[in-house]
Amino acid sequence: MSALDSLLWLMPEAILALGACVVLAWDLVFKKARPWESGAVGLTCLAGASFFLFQRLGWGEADVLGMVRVDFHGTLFQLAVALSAAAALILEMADRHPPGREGRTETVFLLMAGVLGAFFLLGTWNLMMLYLGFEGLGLAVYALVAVRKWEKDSAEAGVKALVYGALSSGLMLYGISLLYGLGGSLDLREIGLETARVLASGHVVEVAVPFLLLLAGFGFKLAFLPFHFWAPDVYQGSSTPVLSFLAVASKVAGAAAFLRVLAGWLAAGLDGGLGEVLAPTIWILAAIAAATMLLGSLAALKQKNLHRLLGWSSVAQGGFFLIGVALLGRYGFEAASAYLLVYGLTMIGIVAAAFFLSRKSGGLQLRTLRGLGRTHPWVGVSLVILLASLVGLPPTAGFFAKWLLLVRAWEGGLGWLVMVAGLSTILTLVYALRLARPLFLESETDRPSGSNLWPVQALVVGAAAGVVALFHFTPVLDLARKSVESLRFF
Amino acid sequence: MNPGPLSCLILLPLLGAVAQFLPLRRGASRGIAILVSLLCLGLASWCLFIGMDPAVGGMQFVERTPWLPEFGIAWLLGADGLSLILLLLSSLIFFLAYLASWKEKRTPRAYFGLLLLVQVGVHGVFLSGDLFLFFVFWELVLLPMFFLIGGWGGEGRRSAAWKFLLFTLSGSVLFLIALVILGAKAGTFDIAALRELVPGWGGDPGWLGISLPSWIFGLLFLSFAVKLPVFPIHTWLPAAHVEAPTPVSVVLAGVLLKLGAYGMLRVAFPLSPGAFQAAAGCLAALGAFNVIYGAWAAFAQKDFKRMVAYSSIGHMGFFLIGFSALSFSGMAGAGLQLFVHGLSAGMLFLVVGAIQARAGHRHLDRLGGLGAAMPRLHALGLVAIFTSLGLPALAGFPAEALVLFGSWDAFPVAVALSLLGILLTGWFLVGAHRKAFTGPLPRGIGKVVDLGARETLVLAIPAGLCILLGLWPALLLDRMAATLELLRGGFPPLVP
Repeated sequence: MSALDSLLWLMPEAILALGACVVLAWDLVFKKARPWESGAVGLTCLAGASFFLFQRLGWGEADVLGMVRVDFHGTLFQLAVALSAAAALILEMADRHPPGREGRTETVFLLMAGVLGAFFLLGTWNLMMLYLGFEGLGLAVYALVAVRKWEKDSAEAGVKALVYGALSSGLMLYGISLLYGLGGSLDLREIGLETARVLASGHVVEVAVPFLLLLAGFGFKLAFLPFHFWAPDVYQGSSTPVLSFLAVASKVAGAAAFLRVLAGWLAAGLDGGLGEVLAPTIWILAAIAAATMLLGSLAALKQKNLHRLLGWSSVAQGGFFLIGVALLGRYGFEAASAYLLVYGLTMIGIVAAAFFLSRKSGGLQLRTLRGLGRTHPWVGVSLVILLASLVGLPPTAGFFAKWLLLVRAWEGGLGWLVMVAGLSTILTLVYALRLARPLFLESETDRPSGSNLWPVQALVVGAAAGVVALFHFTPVLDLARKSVESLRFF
Repeated sequence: MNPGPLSCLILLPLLGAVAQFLPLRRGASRGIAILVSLLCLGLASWCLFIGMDPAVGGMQFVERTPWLPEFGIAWLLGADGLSLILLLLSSLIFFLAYLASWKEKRTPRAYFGLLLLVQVGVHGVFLSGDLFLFFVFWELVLLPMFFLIGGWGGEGRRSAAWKFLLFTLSGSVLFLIALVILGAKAGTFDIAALRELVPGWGGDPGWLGISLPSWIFGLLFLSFAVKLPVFPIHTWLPAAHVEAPTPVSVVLAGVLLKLGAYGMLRVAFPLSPGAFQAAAGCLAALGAFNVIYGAWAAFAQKDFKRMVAYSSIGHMGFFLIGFSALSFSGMAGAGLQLFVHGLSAGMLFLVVGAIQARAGHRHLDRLGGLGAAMPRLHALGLVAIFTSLGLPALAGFPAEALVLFGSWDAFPVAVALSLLGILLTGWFLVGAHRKAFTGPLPRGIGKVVDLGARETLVLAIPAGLCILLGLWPALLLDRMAATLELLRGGFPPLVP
C-alpha cells in the first residue's frame, strides 16, 4: 500500500487531526472571532470525518502502515463516537459560559483530540497504538472535566479523573508489557495464538495476571465495579456537554475497544483452546456484571443531582453491556455491540434532554425540574420515550437490545444473571421515573424564559424518534453482526 | 401490508393518540377520542357478530407480517370468540370512559392521549397471536397508566401510582424472563406453535429441580396474577382504583383486570397444560379465597369506592375457579364473568363518581337519601348493584351460576366456600345501597341534581346490556362456544 493509499484509508483521522489544529489556531489568528466559530469548525470536521467513515464502512478490511487496522468493527464504532461527539459539541455550542470566562475553543479542541484518541483506540490490533489511543482519549477527558477552571467542582472532578485515570492506564501498561513478554509481539492476534499455546501447556498464571491487569484498565474506563468510584463524582463535576462526551463517546469507545481486545486475544482460545480457564473467566466477568448492574441502579435510586443520577445510571448500563462480554462468544459479543449502539443513541438523547431541562430550570437538582414537561411537551415526551429505552420497555430499541442480551445469557447458561438483570431493570424504571415524574406531575415554579435552544430540542426529539424507529431492530442487529464478524481473523 | 380489521383496531387509537400532538382547539381532544372509540366499537361489533364464523374455534381475521424472522417474531394478529368478546367489552368501556371524561379540564390533550395509548395496548394484547407482540402491547399500558393515576388522581395519587407501577412492573419482569427462556429455546413466538412446542420440554431437567414448562407456567401465572389480581399480590388494586379519577377507575376495573385473565387463559395455562393441571386445585382454592377475601374486605369499607374496588377482587376469583375446573360450563361462566364484571364494576365506579361529584365525598356513613333526590341514578345504580351480586335476570347471574355449576364436580369445597362469598357480596352491596340511597338526605349535602343526559347515557348503555345478557346470555355464549371447546381440548379433563 502506497503512502497515498494509506492517506485515503486514514482520511477521517487526518481530517480530525488537521481540524483540531485549525481550531486551536482559530482564536489566535482571528482576534475578533465569535465564540461559536471554533465550534462550527469542529462540527464541520466531525461531519467530514463521519462522511468518510461512512464510506469506509463499505471498503472492507486493511492493515494501514502496520499499525492501524481498518475493519467494520472499528469503523462502525468510530462513526458512533464521531456522531456522539458531534452531539456533545452541539450541546457545548448551545451552552452559555459566564461573561469573561472563556474556554470554548479549548473545549472544542479537547473534544476533537479525544475523538482522535478514540479513533486510534478503536482501529488497531497493535497494543502500543491501543495504549496511545487509550491515553489520548484519557488525557482529553481529564482536561475536559477540569476546563471550567472557575468552578470548584470542576477542578476537583478533574483531579479525580486524573488520579484514577493515571492509575488505570498504569495498570494497563503493565499488563501490556506482560503480554509483550508472553507473546513476543505487540500484535494482539499473534499474542492470542501464543496465549492459546501457553494455556494448552497448563500455564495459567502467565495469562491470568495480564488479563486481570487489562480488566482493571478497562474497568476504570468503563466504570465497572470495583473500579467505579470516580464516575459519579466526575460526572457531577463536569459540565453537561462534557458529561455527554464522557457517558457516550468515551464509554462507547472504551467498550468497543474492550470487545476487540478480548476477541483478538482470546480468539484463538475461544474455540475450545481456553479449556479450563474459560469457566472461571466467564464467572468473574458475570459476577462483575451482576454487581455493577445492581450497585449502579441501587445507588441511582437515591440521587438528587441530575448529573450524579446519570453517572450511576451509566455505571449500571455498563453492567448490562458486560453481560454480553461475559459470554465470551460470538453471540454474546453481538448482543453487547447491539446494546452499545442502542445505549449510545439513547444516552445522547437523555443527556441532551438533561441539558435542555437544567438550562431551563437553572439548576441540576431533580426538584428544580418540576413542571417543565408541561411547558416543553416535546422534550418532556421525548425524554420519557428515551428513558423507556434506557429501562428496556417496548416499543423502543432499548427493549430489544436488553432482551437480546438476556436471551444470549440464558443460552449461555447464566440463568441467575438473567434474574439479576430483571431485578436491576425494575430499579432502573424506578429511578428513571423519579427523573420523569416531576416533569409532568408536579406544578411549576416561576422561572425566567431563556432562548429556546432549538438545536438541542431537535437532538432530543431526533434521538427519541430514532429509538422508536429502531424498534424495527433488524438494522441494528445486522450492524452488530457484521462488526463482530470482522473481528474474527482466523 | 394491507391492514385488516384487527390492525385497524390497533391503529385507530394510536392515530388518535398521535393526533393529540396537533395544535387542537379546546374540546377537540375528547371529540377525537370519542370518534375513535366509536369506530372501534363498531368494528369490534362487526367482527364479533357479523364477520366471524362462530363455528370456528381457532383464530380468524389472521394477519401475519414477519418482523424479526430469525427470532421467529412476527406481527401476527388474530381473534377468536373469546378475544373478540373482550375486545367488544374494552372498546365499549373506553367509549364510556371518554364520554364520562367530557368535562376533564386538566390538560385534556395529555389525558385523552394517554387513555388512547392505554387503549392501543389493551386492543393489542387481545389481538396478538404472537407472544412477543403480546408483551409489547402489555408493556404499553404501564407508563400511560402510571401518569394517568399520578397526574389526575385523588389525594393519595402519588403512592398509588408508584404501587401500581412497582407491582405491575415486577409482573412484567417475570413475563420478560419467560420470554427470554422461550427466545433461547423455542425460536418462535407464535402462540399456537408454542402450544405444541412447550409441553414437549417436560423431559428437560430445568432449573432447581423444576421442569422448564413448570417454570414457564409459574413465571407467566405470577405475572398475570398481579394484574388479575390474586391474593396476596392484590394490594396495588385498592390504592390504584380508589385514587384514579372515575373514568380511569372504570378502565382499570373494566378492562385492565381482564388483561390478567386473558393472559392466563390464552398463554399461561395452554402453554404448559401439565403444570396447570397439577396446580388446578390450588388455583381453585386461591379463587375461592379471593371470592371470600374480596367480599370480606369490601364488607369492612366505609369508602364506597374502596368497597367497589375490593368487590372486584372477589369477582375475579370466580374466573379462577371456573377456568380451573376445565368443564365447558365452568369455562363459559368464567368467560362471561369477565364481560359482566367489566360492565358491573364500571357502572359501580360511575355511580360512585356521580355521587362524589354531588355530595363532595363518598363516605357511606355520611351519605343518605340520594334515591329520592336522584331517581335516575338510583334506578341505574340498582341495576349495577344487582348485576354485581348476581340477581337472576341480570347478567351477573348466568355468569356466576355457570361457574358454580361447572365447578361443582371438580371442586365442591371451593364452590361451597364461594357461595358464602356471594352471600357476603349481597350483604355489603345491599348495605351500601341502604346507606347511600335510602333515608333522609344528610344535612351536609345541599341541593343535588340528578344525572344529566350525558351521564344517564353513560350508565344506561351498560345497564341495558346487563339486562339483555341476563335474559339472553346465549348472545355471547354462542360466540365463544367453539373457542372454549378448542381451548378445553388442549387439556385432558380433570373429572372423567
